[in-house]
Amino acid sequence: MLAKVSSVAIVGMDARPVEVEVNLATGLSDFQIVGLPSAGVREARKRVEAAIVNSGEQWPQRKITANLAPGDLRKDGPMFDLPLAVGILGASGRVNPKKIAGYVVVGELALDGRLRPVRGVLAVSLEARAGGAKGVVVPALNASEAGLVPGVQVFGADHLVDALAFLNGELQAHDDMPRPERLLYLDPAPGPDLSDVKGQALARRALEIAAAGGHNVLMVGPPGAGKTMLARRLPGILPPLSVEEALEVTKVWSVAGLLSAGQPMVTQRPFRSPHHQASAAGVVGGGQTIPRPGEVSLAHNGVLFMDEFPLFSRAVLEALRQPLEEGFITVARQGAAVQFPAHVCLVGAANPCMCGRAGDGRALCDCSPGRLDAYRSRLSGPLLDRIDLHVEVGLLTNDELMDLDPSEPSSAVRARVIKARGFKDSREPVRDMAIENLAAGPKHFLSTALAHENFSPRGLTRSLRVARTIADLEGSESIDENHVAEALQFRRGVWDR
Amino acid sequence: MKVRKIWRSSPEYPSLLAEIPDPPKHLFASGRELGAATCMAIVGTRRASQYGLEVARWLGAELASAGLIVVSGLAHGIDAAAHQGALDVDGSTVAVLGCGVDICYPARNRDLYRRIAERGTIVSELECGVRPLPHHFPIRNRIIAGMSLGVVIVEARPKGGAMITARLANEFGREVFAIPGLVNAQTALGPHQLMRDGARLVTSARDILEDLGLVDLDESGQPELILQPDEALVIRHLGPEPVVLDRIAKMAAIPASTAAAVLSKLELRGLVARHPGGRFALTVGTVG
Repeated sequence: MLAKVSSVAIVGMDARPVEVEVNLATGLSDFQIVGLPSAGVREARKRVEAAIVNSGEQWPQRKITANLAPGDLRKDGPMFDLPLAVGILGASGRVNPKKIAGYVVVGELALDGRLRPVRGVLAVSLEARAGGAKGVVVPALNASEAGLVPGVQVFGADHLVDALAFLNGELQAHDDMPRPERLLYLDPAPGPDLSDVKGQALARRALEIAAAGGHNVLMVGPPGAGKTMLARRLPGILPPLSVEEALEVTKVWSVAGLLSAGQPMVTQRPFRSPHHQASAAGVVGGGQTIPRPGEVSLAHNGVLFMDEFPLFSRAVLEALRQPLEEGFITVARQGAAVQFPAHVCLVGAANPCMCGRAGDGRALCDCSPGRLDAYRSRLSGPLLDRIDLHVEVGLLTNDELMDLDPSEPSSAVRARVIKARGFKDSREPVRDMAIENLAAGPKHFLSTALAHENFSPRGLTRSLRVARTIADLEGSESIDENHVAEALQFRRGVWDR
Repeated sequence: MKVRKIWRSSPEYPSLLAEIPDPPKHLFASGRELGAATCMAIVGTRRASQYGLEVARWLGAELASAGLIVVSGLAHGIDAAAHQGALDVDGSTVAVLGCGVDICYPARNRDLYRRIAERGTIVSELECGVRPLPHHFPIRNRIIAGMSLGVVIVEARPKGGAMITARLANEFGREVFAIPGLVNAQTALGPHQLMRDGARLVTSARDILEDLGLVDLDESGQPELILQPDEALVIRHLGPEPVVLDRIAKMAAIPASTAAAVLSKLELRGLVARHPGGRFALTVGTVG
């Protein structure tokens, strides 16, 4: 007696179809899983047996062999519990094998037969649609996530018994799935507001330019100056997520298992801040056999904040170059080589020196030149070249704090950012960022600047990119002298001295 | 790199250096020939403040423009800034090393070392290949003081190497100049102590040149500044004390983004300097 159940395995960002075949043969009672299961998948044997018995079903006292095909694909995770249970009950005649066909089944079983949520359900649903399946059977807590894909019938089961009832035609699929547009619209939570930051006009302007042009930012300043506070406010001035963007982010978060139970979708731009001792696998993605997304992918379409930026390991910093350049990261492991999206706005924060006092103004830094050199050289030239905006965040004195006008709220800045992005999309795209393409005035100004030793030629393209965004913020077709002049404020200061 | 040996009998041997009690028997040099022009040393601490660096660079440039040779020790901080200032105006400068002339120490100043070797002179008493050992530096300092008509101490800690150079200059009967700093700054303790001991307080290259009788006392030096209206508006609110951008924008009643652009232009013109923490002040050569 043989039964087949469609399921999927998560490989990187995608779900790959897996056929779960269960055969009951005469012989001593036994249950084996073949088809490259990981140790974790093999543990399903105990869960499935207990869940079936505790659901009031008969455990077939036969020689059970389950095969996960294709046999050359490594399978991991507890999502095969439910298809295995359904397969066994199908083979023993409890469920009609014909009715099982056409449904993609995933879910982790508890010993009492309840279903626990699994990761990657959005990918499962997408694969089900692509593979022409009728629908998906998933744990109830994953149902609304599965329902984000239009055209896929979703049944969310609380318990193995419900799943069997649905497959036997006794229960109906859910048809009241929340639409992604609605979920985005309903999300009220505003993040922290820029008006909380007192002063720091230059840094706030840098964030505005970063948000408008998608530039990366390096903030340099002594501890306590407000670097983290500023960075946390960047998602709030970026335009709201579009449906496509939200679904992309959700897919990554879902694959990583970070969606909280019952949360169908990520509705806010992510803000991730890995610790500086994080491993390369943690930051850019990795894992033992099948790679999982790292922080840079979890921050996809959002902000990756790296406090103590120079203190991250060299491996991490250099691995960031690909995602910063291309918007995705390729991770190769024994089990598979996969691509994760990683389109982020990177915000690095750094102390000006090891002792942190170099930017204080009131205290004198006591780092030796050698130590300072070693510290500054942790950020390589090619990495710094990918960070367009460098800005110093100083510690304000009490006097300076008293004297300030209230800061602008995030909503005002965000409005300008949205407008600038709209303008950017409407104008002629700039193909070549070269000094030759400037008008005479700004061209002359920039060449003078480059001759001045404070302005390194290395920063030329970066300055031009920033100037272009500043022009966009002003709604100007061409780059003028003032745009270039302002862009020069965000040149590599501390890290070039 | 071509290295030549200058014996004491050679015409290239600095005449002032020959007058000190223990002149080196010979010098090794690389780069241009040591001219007969007056040498002026600018020395100071390696861990200098931004103010000190600015002053050293400005003095280096001004003295070199006046035709003097700027002598220093290629160390980090004040020394490097002084050399840099002289190179900025295509003036001549001499770096006296505490190691062989073929070794760049500190290695971080490699770029500066190369440019001095091209456009100035690298000098040492030590054979090529001799490494920079701690006891070489006081000996090196005696050459800096010995070949110069005077020594300017820009910033120095009371026990720093620059103070040794100043003491030696005094012993050799050379002029010692000191640049004032803040009374509570570590780096100003040295110069202030020198002033109490009789060093000349100077605040510009002009002071030094006048003191040495190298310039006459007429006042029509400074060309008048021509500023754009927005530049004039911003510069009015700046002084020697660094101010944050927020305050400049508020006082000038312009958006911070405009202020940032104008400050870039002023910086390019050499009127404004950027200070740590996103602050701005007039450069040391600009009196507000």
